[in-house]
Parts: sequence; C-alpha cells; structure tokens
Amino acid sequence: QEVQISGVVKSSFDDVPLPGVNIMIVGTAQGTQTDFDGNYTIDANPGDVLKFSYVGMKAKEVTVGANTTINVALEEDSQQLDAVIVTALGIEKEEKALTYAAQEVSGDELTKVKQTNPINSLSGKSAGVTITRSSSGLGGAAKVVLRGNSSTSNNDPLYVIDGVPMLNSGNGSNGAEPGTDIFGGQTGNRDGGDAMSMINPDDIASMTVLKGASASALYGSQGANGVILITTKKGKDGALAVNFNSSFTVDNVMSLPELQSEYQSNSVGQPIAENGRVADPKSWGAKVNGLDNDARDFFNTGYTSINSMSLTAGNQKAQTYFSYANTMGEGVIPENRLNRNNLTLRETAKFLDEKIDVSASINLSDQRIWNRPTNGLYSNPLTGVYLNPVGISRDMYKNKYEYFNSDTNMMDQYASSFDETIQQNPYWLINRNQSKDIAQRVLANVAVKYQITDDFSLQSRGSYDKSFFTFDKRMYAGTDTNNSGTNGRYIYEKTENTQQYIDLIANYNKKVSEDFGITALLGTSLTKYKIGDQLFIDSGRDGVGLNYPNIFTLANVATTNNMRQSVGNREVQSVFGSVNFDYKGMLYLDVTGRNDWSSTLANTDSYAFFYPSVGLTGVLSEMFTMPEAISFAKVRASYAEVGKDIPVYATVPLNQISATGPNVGSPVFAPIEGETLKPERQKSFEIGTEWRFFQGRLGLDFTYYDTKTSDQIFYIQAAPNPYGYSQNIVNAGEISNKGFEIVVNGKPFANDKFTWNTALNFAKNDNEVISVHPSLQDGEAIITARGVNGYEYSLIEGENFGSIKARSLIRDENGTPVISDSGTLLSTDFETVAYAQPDFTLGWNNSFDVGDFTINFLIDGKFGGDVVSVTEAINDYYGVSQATADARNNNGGMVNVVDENGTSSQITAQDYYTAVGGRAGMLGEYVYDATNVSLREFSVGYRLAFNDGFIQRVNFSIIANNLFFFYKDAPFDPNIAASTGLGLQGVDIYNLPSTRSIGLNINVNF
Amino acid sequence: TEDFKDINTNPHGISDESLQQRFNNIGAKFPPMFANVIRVEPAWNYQLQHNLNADLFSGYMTTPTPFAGNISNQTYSLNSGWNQFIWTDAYDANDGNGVMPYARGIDEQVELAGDESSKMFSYISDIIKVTAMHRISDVFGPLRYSKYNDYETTGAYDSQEEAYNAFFADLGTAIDQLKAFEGQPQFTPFDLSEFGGDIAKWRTYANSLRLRLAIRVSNVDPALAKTEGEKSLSSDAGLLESENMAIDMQGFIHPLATISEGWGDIRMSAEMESILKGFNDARLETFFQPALGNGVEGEYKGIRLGIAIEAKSDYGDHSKLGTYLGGLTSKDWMTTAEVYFLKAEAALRGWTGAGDAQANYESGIRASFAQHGAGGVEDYIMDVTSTPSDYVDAVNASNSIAYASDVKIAYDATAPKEEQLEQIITQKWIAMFPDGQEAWSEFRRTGFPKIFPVVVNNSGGTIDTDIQVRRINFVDTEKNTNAANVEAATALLKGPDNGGTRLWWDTGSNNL
Repeated sequence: QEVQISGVVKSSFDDVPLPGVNIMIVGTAQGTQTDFDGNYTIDANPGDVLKFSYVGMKAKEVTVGANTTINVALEEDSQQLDAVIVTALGIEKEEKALTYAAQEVSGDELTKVKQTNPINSLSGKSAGVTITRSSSGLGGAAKVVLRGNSSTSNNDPLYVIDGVPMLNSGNGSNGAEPGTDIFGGQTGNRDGGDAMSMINPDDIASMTVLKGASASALYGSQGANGVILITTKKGKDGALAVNFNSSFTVDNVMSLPELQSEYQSNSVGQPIAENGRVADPKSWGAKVNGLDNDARDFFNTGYTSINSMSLTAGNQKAQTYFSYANTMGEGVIPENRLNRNNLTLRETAKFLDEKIDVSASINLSDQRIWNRPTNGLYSNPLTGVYLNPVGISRDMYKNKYEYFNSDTNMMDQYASSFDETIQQNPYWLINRNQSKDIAQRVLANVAVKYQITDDFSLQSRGSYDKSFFTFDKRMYAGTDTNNSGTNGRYIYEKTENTQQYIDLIANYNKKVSEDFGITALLGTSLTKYKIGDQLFIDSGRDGVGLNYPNIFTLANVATTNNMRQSVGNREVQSVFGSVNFDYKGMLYLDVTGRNDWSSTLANTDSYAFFYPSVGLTGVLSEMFTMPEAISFAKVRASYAEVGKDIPVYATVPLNQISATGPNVGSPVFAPIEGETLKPERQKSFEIGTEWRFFQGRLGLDFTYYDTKTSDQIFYIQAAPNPYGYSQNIVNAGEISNKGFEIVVNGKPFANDKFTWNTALNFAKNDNEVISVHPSLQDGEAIITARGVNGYEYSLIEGENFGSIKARSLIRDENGTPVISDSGTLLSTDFETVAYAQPDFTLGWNNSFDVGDFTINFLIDGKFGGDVVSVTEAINDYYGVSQATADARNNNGGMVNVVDENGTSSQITAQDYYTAVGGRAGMLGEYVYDATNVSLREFSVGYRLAFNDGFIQRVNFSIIANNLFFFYKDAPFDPNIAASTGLGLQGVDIYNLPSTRSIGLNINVNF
Repeated sequence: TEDFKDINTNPHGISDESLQQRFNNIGAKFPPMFANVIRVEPAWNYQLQHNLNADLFSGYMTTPTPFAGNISNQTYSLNSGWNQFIWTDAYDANDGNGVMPYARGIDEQVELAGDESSKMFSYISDIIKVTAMHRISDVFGPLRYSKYNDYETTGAYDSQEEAYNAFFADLGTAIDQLKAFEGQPQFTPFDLSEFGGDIAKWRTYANSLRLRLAIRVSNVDPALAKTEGEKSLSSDAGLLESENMAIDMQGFIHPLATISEGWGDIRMSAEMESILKGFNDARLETFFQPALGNGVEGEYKGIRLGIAIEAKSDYGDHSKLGTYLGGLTSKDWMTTAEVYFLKAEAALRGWTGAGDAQANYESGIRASFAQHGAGGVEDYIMDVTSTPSDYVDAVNASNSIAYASDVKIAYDATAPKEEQLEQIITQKWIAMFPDGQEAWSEFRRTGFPKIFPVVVNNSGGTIDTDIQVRRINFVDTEKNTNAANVEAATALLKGPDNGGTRLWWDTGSNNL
C-alpha cells in the first residue's frame, strides 16, 4: 500500500536545509526533489529504498518503514569524489583525477548580473582569464585571453559547445579581425561582434575554462590558446517546469574625459559661416566666466532588457528543453539600438534499454544592431562631441546638423569644423551616417552514444554552424569627403561563415583489478571551414561615389572599382586518443595524442602535425593519513605540446585582381624563396596542487605554468626580390608566458540564518618576447605601424608582449622639458613607453545568504600594465581638456622649460600642448597606469517560495554592473579595448566610455 | 588529403597560367606600371609620393597643415614614413604598387613566349620603366635598376651615372626596335595612354623622354648629353609637338583636387604668387582659386614654405589649387610645352637640330597657354616689363621676402646665356605645373626659378637653408632589409645619405 512519505533534508555539517536534493525510489523511475526549505513528499511502498543525492554530498539510502516522516541529514562529501567536470571533447572526468587546471563556473554564477555578451560575465570569476570589453557597446565583442598573449597572430580561445568546437573565427567573427587602424579606416573600426555574443546566457548550464595546453591538447591546433567549454541546459526528467526571467537595466556613461569650461574658443563672437564653420575650431581664447561645456548631454541613458523563458519537460526516456530569449537595448550613443532573439530546442532521449543516448539541438539567433559605435578618429561622433569649440553652442549644432545648400539644391552638413578631417558634426554622423549590422546564426548539433558493453561505448557528434552577416552603411552627401564621395557613400557587405564538424569516438572504461582502472578513447574528426565568404561593395570615397546623391542602392554605385569577393576555405582531419590509468584512486596518469592534417599546409613538407600531452596526479589525501583539518590534497603535473595552423592560402600565393582598379596585382606576401612553413608550436608545462580543509569549507588551488610558443607566424619585410613581394611570411620567434594562479574558495560562515561564500581568483602572468625573426631590425616586429600618428605597437625582443611605442619629451635631470634654440620642445625618438598587459589580476566574488535574501558582489582588479590615451592628447591639442585650463590658470599660463644650455625659460601652455598633444604628438606623455579595482557586479536578491501554488518560486533581484572604481589612474576605463584585435591594445582612441548599469531582475519558476 | 591543395587555393585569385588568355599574362602587368609613375589613387598615396615632397620643394605648392607639429618635410625634417612611398610605389607589387616587378614580369613572360613579336611589349615596358625610374633616381640618386631582374643581384644599386646610361640604352633600343612594330595592334588593349596603342607615338614619346634626360645630364656630362640629345633631335621618331603624353586616370579624380579641396592640405605657394602675379599671367586663374579668408579674401594668395604654422586655420583659407584639376580625366607624363623648352635649352647649348632658342621658347609658352585655355598669349610673350613681385605674408610680416631676380617674360636673345636659361626654365616651370617632381629636378639642376628658402629649418643641420634640399635619404625598408647594398649605394653619393647631398647631375652651377 503506497503511503505518502515526507520530511526535511538538511546538511549534517551546519544543519542548513538543502533545496533541490534528488530523491529516487531505487529501481524505479519515480522521484522528486526537495523544495527551497528542504521539504519533500513522495509516495512509496514500505520496503522501498529512497536514495537521497545532492552535489557535493554523500548520497544516502533509507528504507521506508512504518514512519511516514523521514528526515535526512546528508554529510558533505569532503573528498569531492563525485564531483565531475567536463573536459576536452565533452568527456566528463572526476575533478580529482585531472592533471591540469580547469575551473568551472556555473550558469547561475554567470547570470546573476546579466550581460548582453555572456562571456563578459566571466570576468573576475576564473583565475587567469583576462576579459577586455570592446568599446562598441551593445552586442560588442570581447577580447578573452587565457594566461597571457602567446601568439603574434591570434590569441582567442576556442569555444566548445556541448563537446563541439564553435566557430568564432577572428574576433570580429565576420571572418576578419576587427579594424586596427588609428584613424578607424574611413568608416570607423568596426567590431562585428563575436559568436559568443549571440548566445542566450540563460541557456548556459556551466562554463569550464581549460587554461593550459595540457587541458586542451586534445583539440590540437584549435586549442593552443585554451578552451572555454560551454555546457548548455537540457531537459529534465520530471514534470513540466517553466522558468521565466526578465531583467531590465539602465546604462549610463561613466569616466568621460574632463573638459574645461573656462577658456573659450577664439571663434566666439566671430561670424559663423553658412555651413556652420567657425573661425577657429580650437579653444585657446580668452578666459570667460559662465561657460558651459558638458559633453554628457550628448549621451542617452541606455537600457538593456533581456526577457527569457525556458521550458523543460520529459520522462526517463525523453526530455525536451526549449528556450526563447529576447534582448532589446538602446545604447548610450543616440540611435544605437539592438534587438536580438534566440531560440533553442534540445531533445535528449534514450533507446534500447537506455543503451543509446541521442541528443539533438538547434539554436537560432537573429541580432540586429543599428548604428554600432565605432572607434578611431574618422566617422566617430565622439571626436566632435569632445572637441566642440568651448563657448560655441552645442545645441545649435544639435538642433541643426544640416542646412539647405542652395549651390547643390540639397541638404548639406552643418558642422563647426572639419579640422584635420577627424571631426564632423556628431549629430550628422549619428543621423546621416547610419549603419545596420545583422547577424543570423544557425547551430545544429546531433550526438549519438551507444553503450555497447559496460566497458565500451561509441559516440558520434555532428554539427552544422552557419552565420550570416549583413552590414549596410549609408553616408549622405555632405559627409567629410575624406570618408565619402561627393554624392554620398554606400557600403554593403554580406558574409557567411560555415563550419561543418563530425567526429567518431570509441570509449573504453575498465576496472582491470581492484586497484587498477583504465579509461581510453580513440577518435577521429573532420572539420570543414568556409570563413568570411564575403561579397563587398563600396561606392568609395573618391570622386562622386554614387551617381545620384543619397540613393542607397547598388545600381547607383558610380564605379565598380570597390567590389570584391573573398573566402577562406580550410579542412582539418584529425585522429586523437587518450589513455588514463587509475591506481587505487590515488594516482592517475593521463596520456593524450592528436594528429591533425590541415589543408593550409599544402606545399609544405607535411600536412600532418602531432600534439602529445602527458599528466600525472597524486591524491595525497588518499596516499597518506592527513590531519583531520585536511580533507583533500592532491598534486599534479603535466606537459603538453599544441600548435596552431598557418593562415589559409599562405603557401599558394596567387595574383589578385585589385579591388580598387582593373589591375592584377601580385600576392602581397609569400614564403621566402626556398623556405616552407610549419604550424606554430606551443610547449607548456604546469604543476599544481589542490587542498581542501575543514570538510571542504576552505579550498585552495595553486597552479604554476611555463609556456613557450615558438615558430610564430610573422610577416616580415621581404628582402630585395625581383617579384616585388613586400612581405614574407615566415616561422620565427619565441614568446614565453610564465605565471601562477591561485584560487581560494571558502565558506567562512554557514548556518541556517547566514551563509557566506567567498572565492578569490588571483593570476599573475609574466610574458616576454624571447625572439622575433632574425631579419627584423633591432629585434622588433611591428604590429601597428606609427604611420603618420603617434602610436606604434610592436613585439620587441626582451620586452613584454606588446610594446607601445611613442615619442616623449626630453627632460633635464629635474624633469623640466628641454627646448631647442628655436624654442621648440625636444622629443625623444619612438621608444617603448608602455605595455598593455596587466601584471596580475584579482577577482573576489562573494555571496551572502541571509534568510531569503542573497547578496552578491564581485570586486575585479587588474594591476599593472599601461594605457595610452590618444583622446587626451587630441583634447589637449584643441585646448578643450581640463588639463589645458589648469595649465593656463597656473604659473601665469606658462610652462617652465630649460634650453639646451640649462637656462630656464618658459613657453605658453598653448605652445606646450600644441607640441605634446595631437594624434601625432608625444603620446609618451599620455601613458597612464592601467591598474584599476572596481565593484564589477553587485546584486541583492530576494526569493519567495510557494509550497503548493501554480507558481513555485519567484526571485527578485536588484542588479548592478560596473558600479564604481575603488581605484583607477587612467582618465577612462582601462578595461575597454579600442579593438578586440591584436593591433590596438592599450590605447584609447575616442573609445565609447564605459557604462554603469543598474536594474532589476525577476525570475519566476512555474 | 588529396584535395588539400585545391582547398588551400584562393578561388578568387588568378594564376599566371589562366592569365595567358588574351595575352593578359603580359598585358595585365601594364596597368600597375601606368598607375605608379604618378600615382593617382588613393589620393593619400600621391600626397606622399609627390605632393608633400617634390610639389613643396619645387616651389609649386605649400601645405597649410602643420604636419607632425610642423616638424616634417615642410620644415626639412625629412619624414621617412612618408617618403617611403616614393620608393615602394615603384618596387613593391602589392596595394596597387609596382613598376619594376611588373616590368620584370613582362620580360619574363616575353621570354617564355619566345617569339619575336612579343618583344614589342618589353620595349614599351622599358619606356614606362625609364619614365618612372629616372624620377626615382632624381629623388634618391643611386637606385636598383640595371641588376634588378636577377634574383642574385636584385638588391644591388646602380650609381646615378650608371642608371642614366642604362636609361639611355633602354630608350635607344626601344626607339630603334619599335620602328618595325609601327602599325601593329597587339598593345592597343593594354595602352592606358591617350596614344591608343599607336607604336609610332610611343616612339615619339620615348625620343622626347631621351631629350629630357639628355638635358638633365648636360652640366655633369656635356658630351653624353650632346650625343644623346642630338640623337633625339635627329631621330625619325620625332618629338612631341602636337600631343601631350597623358595617361587616362581610369575614372579617378586627380588626387590634387582631393588633397586641396577635400582635405585642405595643399595650397598655392609664395613663388607661384610672386611669379604668376608679377607676370600678370592668365594661367593664374586656372591654376588657383582666390583665397577665402585669412584677411586676403578674393586675392590669389600663396604661402611660403617652411614657415612657423601652429594650426591649419592660420593659412588654410589661402588659395586652393584650381578647379580644373577636378575635371581632368588624364594625367600628363610629358607636355609639348616641355619639349619646346627642352629644345630651347638644346639650342642655347648649341646642339645640332635644336632650332632657334627664342622660337622654341615662345612655342613652349603658346603650347602651355593653349593647354590651359588661357588668352592673351601674344601680348604676354612681348611683355618686356613685368617681373616677379615680392612676397608679402598677410598673416606674419616676418615671412615676407623679396623675389631674388628681375627675370622678364619677353625673350632676350642678347642677354648672357645664364639669363636666357633662367627665362627658359622659369617658363618651363610654369608650364609643367603641377608636376612638382620634374620642376624640383630642374630647379636643382639650374637653380631656376628662384625659390624662397625655408624660414624654419628642422633638418638638424643636414640641409643648408640657402642651398635647400637636394635629395631624399634612402628609405627605411631598404635600410632594414638590404643594408649592405644601401651602404654601398651611400658610397656612390657625393656625401652623406641625407637631404643635403647633391645628386650626380646636380653640379651646383650651369656650364653654359
């Protein structure tokens, strides 16, 4: 006779009720879960065995007797024996058996304070992960670097969803790295967003960061920069569950450059031309009271609204997960909007006595971004916003950004200045230079696993990953002719990226004897890439551009000179295998190997490249008797070699029809005559140790690693050759990364009233360019050439990765600037003035549970490293910065200098800033320490549980992002990158200021 | 892995084999050569190839923009980052660059073809190559030319003397050998000049170019000059006397229009103001526009080179270049006016077949007025009183300067030869506008017309303010990748590798 059993499940250690404990009747499919207060009820027959299981606790079985109340206290599983972690290829491994560092971050952790790009939520939550947000605002890409930059070509990690590598080609993801031009090209450095930014954060069950080569060696050439594994949610066995989540945040700009409102422009009082031009675009005029110069008015209050709904249902044989999310937002720059829809359907099922597991999922996303902000000097409204001549009304240009030009019988731009062609009326740019970015993605996955015997299984996975990108930019006639034809300019670009992946893996898992176990796998995979399959049409900036003004259609493009198609095709075939030996659960040996054959290696000595890894773990707490306080201890060591493919087509140089004329051009680069290319190689060694104390209340994880990346791909200036190649592509150089990571987890307080969880992530990385190609002058590989500007980015032997070079003032021993006989300030040549990479990073994540309230905060700190501000330099040059007003207020408006004989002298503040500032100025004077500590995330949640209602649970939370800086030296947010590409690191070029977001999140479970 | 090579082949690229259709394996190498003698696109490339160096140093134009804090080419702080383009436009083969690599490619394909008729392409390629490379040599001096095609010796430099001898040899062979190909149509589809594939006209141009080069070396090697010059004057190929040598710009706008109108980076020079205004020259209104501001509204107002400028707005409203540039569809490589002035000088030097100096001089002026549609040429030629006016700086009086000569327009055949030469070169200078490269070379060779010295000299003592800039130092890419040969080339100079060292043909005096 079935009876209803009920009770409370608590933790034996601190007597806290445990929500979500699984209770199953052994031998049946019947089961339930505890509610938030640890209560459960289940119908069972006397004699049935109830199994209580919970992550991190030892499972407990209780036989049903006469008593209908069964209260259970679960013991913490101090040795975390059951804790499994997802590793390479989706293989689940016991955490204690790992021979390398891997860190898992749960989906809840990631979505506490939601971001439009979920990868940004990882910041500060995992040691050794440096995340730099792009300055392009809503839906922008993020630069993610694991354990420091190691490569001259690309440092992006591989993203793997449910075991299948995801396409995230180039950080710009439409096939190309984002722009790295200081001017911002002619249309602004675009950020195409990355693949991660298209994922619904609520679909993520967990992310695992595999930082070292050992962890990712099974991914071969793709895993050289580390791997971020994403496990998505799947349907659960049980009744229909519906979750609804809604968050709304408002975003405001913070850390704007300081502008002065004391000295007006000489234009004030002078006539303003019909087209709005003022007499003097700079602000070096008289001191006047009552001026107003607030750039903040330009910015809007943005908002981000994410509404998502998920539904799971299923029985023991088949489960369904369905989710839909909509993200809408408006950026802080007017006219910038985003709308994104994500749809996910995932089916999991078991057949043939549960011997066959089938899982299939499909993700659809569609994202539209209007007027995505760009950076750089051209086509960026922020130059005009900041450089507005002081005393000249901003409103006048806001209310009238165009005027009727009777010469042309059409509207024309009304702007205060086109000075240096870097500024236009910002309102013209946002209204008459509009762009639209559309990204659509289909990701379909199928996985089948067949458990042939208890020891042996076969699995196969396939995925089809396709993205479509459309970019449409319309520049009206009247736009600065440096960027647009006289009748306007139309750019239309369509790009498709495709990746097809299939693998087959055989798994063997055998307990050979009482003491000895073996796990092995052998697999093969095939991946085909078609990246950046692009059609690009641009009416161009030279000449008329369009036949008829302001008609944006392809038929109206005046010349066919700016059309092109491109595509990057690549195929990689792989065979891989791994063997793990387990001795008594205390000693683990892990050996892996992978061989890749890549099409990019055509015309080289071999298509194949091999990547081995070996690792050893000893669980000390199993080997020796430890003091009671130590509940777990292990040491591990591993060595791995991974590599990186070479660029497509590099070994088959071909003539190209020029995109800007009828010419057939020779290839831009080719291997050196008589030389061949090989893949980049990374050798890495790491050791680590993990300790848990006081029944797991305190955990410590330490890792030291040493990585050397050699045979880097460099493009070097070609030696004289009659073919006219200006560059050779070569293997050369070595970059070293050494560092350590410390993760501390603690639960200092835990009782039913108050629980405090805290986690500290610390990572220190030292990197050094050991060598570059021997033919490069002075051991220097220039990544971003100075051109006509004041910033250069290079890799220099013996220096940290990424030397920022600029000119600086020559100063005497007292630090006073030196002038020449003719009175001009003397400057050094281009010298290294800064390094972009931080010395160490620290994240401190805390969560407090007080009754039904949960308080979370995350403090994120980066220490060391530098940033350079072109923004400040140009603001100074134009006399709009507060620094220039201060200089004019002090010392009679003079700057003390000495001449070359040491005689004191003075020059005016204007002369000083005119020489030092500007885009070609002495940027060495604009270096700031990038060290910053901020309150990255803060949330207060309140949960309401309903025992019997239709609604089961409601969580409310107030969430905030980027609240404030505890410490910051730079005049802007140094965590924002001008570009997520390699070439513009550590420089601010009229970047979009960072935003502070505050909002509300509601989560309802039905 | 069998199809890996196919997969790794760019489907949008073209192999030399597939270019063989319609002889494009040879013909497709001509467009970059045509493009890079005087590069029109992108405009910033022209700005760095010719404008912010030769166009300034020739006294044609001045920039109102204080580039690099006014410490750059305009104040004799030679900007290697810019001047690099003069070289790479000729030697690289990407980004639309390239003269030498494509000329080599044509020779190679012609050799592969193996038939006599294809050789025509090599001869025409040589004419274009000399057109481009004598300009490069006139900037740097020694250059990679005669040993370029062989991989082993490609990095080696010729002295300028060796290079000029090679130019004469290449031109001579082309002029002689092309005679047999006159009337043949194979080159027509690839000819981007206004000659439309007419081989006879190409011979005429090559012969005129030989005369230009002969005059160029007339001070340093009068015998060579006379030999080569008289070959031109007597050749059946003839000289350009009715039609300019002009290259179609393929739909692109003249870069000077973009630089002047669009970017506001170039303006009329003080010398142009002094000479054209002093001469009441009708071409002034074609070449330039009246100033828009800076207190000189409505006047034709130039800017002196190398003065202290703090902001573009200081002189930005001075005279822009003429709007005619925006309407041009072709760029001149050589004008008939220049040919008449070359003949005038040849006559002055007593070369056989040159005719009368005064008649040629006047024909040159007439040809230039006709080219620009300017009226009143006969009165102009007779003007015996007008002289260049002194320059007055409207913004900063300390930059004002007197014009150092009373050169007049009407030809004075009785004057000392040096003065006659000044008349010829001054008028040639006006007529060759806006080709600053040729004007700068002729100024350095002859000292005419009188170009004002800079006020601010940031050369660090390497360039004498009065002697003025004589060349541009070798480029950084060559120093970085070809250091030993650059060192050897430096030894071929008359002095150190800087802007103060005179080239081979620059003797410092006119041997008349």
